[in-house]
Amino acid sequence: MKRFLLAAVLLLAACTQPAGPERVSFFALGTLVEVSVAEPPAHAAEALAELEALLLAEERRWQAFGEGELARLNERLAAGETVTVPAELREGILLAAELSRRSQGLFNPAIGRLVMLWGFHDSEAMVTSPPAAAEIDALLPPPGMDALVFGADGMQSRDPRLWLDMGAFAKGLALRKAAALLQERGLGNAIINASGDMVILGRARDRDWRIGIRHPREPGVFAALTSAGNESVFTSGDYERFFEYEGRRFHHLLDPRTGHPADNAASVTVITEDAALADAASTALFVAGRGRWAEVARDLGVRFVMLATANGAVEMTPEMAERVEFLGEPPPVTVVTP
Amino acid sequence: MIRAGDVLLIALGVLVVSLLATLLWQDGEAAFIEIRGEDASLRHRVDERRELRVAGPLGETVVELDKGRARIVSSPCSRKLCVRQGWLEAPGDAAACLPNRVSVALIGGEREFDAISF
Amino acid sequence: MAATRSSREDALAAGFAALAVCIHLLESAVPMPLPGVKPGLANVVVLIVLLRHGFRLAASVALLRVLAGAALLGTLFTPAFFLSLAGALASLVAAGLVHRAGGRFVGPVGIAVAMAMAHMSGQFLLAWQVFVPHPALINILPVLLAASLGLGMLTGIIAASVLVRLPVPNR
Repeated sequence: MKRFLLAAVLLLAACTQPAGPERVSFFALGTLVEVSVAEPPAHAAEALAELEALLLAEERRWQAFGEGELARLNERLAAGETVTVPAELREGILLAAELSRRSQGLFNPAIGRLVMLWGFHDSEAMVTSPPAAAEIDALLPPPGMDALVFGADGMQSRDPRLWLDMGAFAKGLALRKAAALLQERGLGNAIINASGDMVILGRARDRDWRIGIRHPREPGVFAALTSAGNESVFTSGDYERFFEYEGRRFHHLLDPRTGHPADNAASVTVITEDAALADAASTALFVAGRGRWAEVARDLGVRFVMLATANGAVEMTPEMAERVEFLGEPPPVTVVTP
Repeated sequence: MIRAGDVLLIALGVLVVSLLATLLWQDGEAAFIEIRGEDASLRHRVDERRELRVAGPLGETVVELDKGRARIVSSPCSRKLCVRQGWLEAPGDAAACLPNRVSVALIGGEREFDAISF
Repeated sequence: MAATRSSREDALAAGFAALAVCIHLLESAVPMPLPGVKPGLANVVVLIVLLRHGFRLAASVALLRVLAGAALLGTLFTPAFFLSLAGALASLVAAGLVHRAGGRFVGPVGIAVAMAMAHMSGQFLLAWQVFVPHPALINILPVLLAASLGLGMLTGIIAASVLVRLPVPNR
């Protein structure tokens, strides 16, 4: 019997096509979400339907403009009113304030008006040229989360220019809840991937999950790593949402200090356990850019960071350097210890 | 020594083996494209040049297929990020027009990565 | 007369089975990708018996071969034994069906091919479902079946040659 199994295993080593995890995808969080479950139990379909509903609800909750609760909140704050923060928004806003502080304001969800100026608040907004300098200047120095005051009767903003846009954070918050849901439902080995930002739980059947990181400029994966869960992998890139004007690219990752898109990185990948932290960190570290990110990473407590520039040069933490394997020609790598 | 029925049986045997081989041994090259729209999803072989149109809330997204690859050629969204992505060539490569609710993915063969971060 | 025929049949069965067992034993020395899975050359004997003496005797020989072979190799009731049994049963069924349905139009080669492929399929199915349920194992099936196709043709040709040379049986 042992001889049997051994021979079979040796033969299998030469075989291709291992059994893969079960995969579903749907539109939520303003993007395509792909869920892979390693060994789906019988009730998996139900759990996944619940997951989809949860993500759609989160998407609606965090809409900064339009008819939703957050938009309403923003209007009232801008008018100087004291508002009672609805329960579902409270945790997210408080966490955002905390992370904004720890990232020295590089992650700053209070700059909603700036985002709107550039047209990145809505995927259908047709902004094709940079906003006028005067308009940007009016929003500098940027309103910060520290303008929010929490008192006995509610929350108030000291800065009328403040507008909460959780675009850089909502995904993280939502995925964190999504991960908890899957674990509660017994789907503890899965990946929820919301177009490049993901939460990883457990392992694939018999092996660790294989994760690829796309090159910021070239097609295809340039770095690979494995994961045995539970952790989140989030990447911020200047190629995700942008427009081109007179040969220059203007992307959606704004530097709150300058009011312009940050231009010291092409992509930043962060791996850490909490999805909300991963989301905020990848944004903050992108804004910090080359040579500056390490200190912020340390303050935020993230250990696995990789920053890539447009020509593929890479800066990473020593822990990340251990985990990541480069495919093809290895890029110039600088290991930075925060 | 060999009769008519024998030949038939041998031919049948060969057919069975080749069918099994082609079905089981897809690897490396992308064999199919999977297109999902808001209400429909379809799969198509990527073995020859053709155009597929998918309807979405904003209009029609046009997907071009070729041997082993595919790309979004045009779409009614304003940013055209999906079009800019160009040719999808390896199994697992995907592009999506989010405003028009269309996603396009190449599948078939061994998937090298479970998930890609970008 | 009936008693004599029955005892004659037994003798024949025993004789053929012995031959089949010899071939089976020799086969055990042949390395296979899936241990325990046999090429099924002993089917030559079963085939000859089928065409000369009918299905019943062939069935006896096939089953005797499995039992005796296992007893001699010391593999009774081991996975190898069950695989052998699965293969033998599958090839018997195939042989019977093809012989019955094909009539004049099929000869030893066609039946042998059907037997060989059924034999391999039967063994593989058992191995895959019970012993090594790894989903990827199915990937070697085309190879195994292709090999059994070839071997089947070979056994068929051997059987045909032998049949031509054997004296007409006393029925």
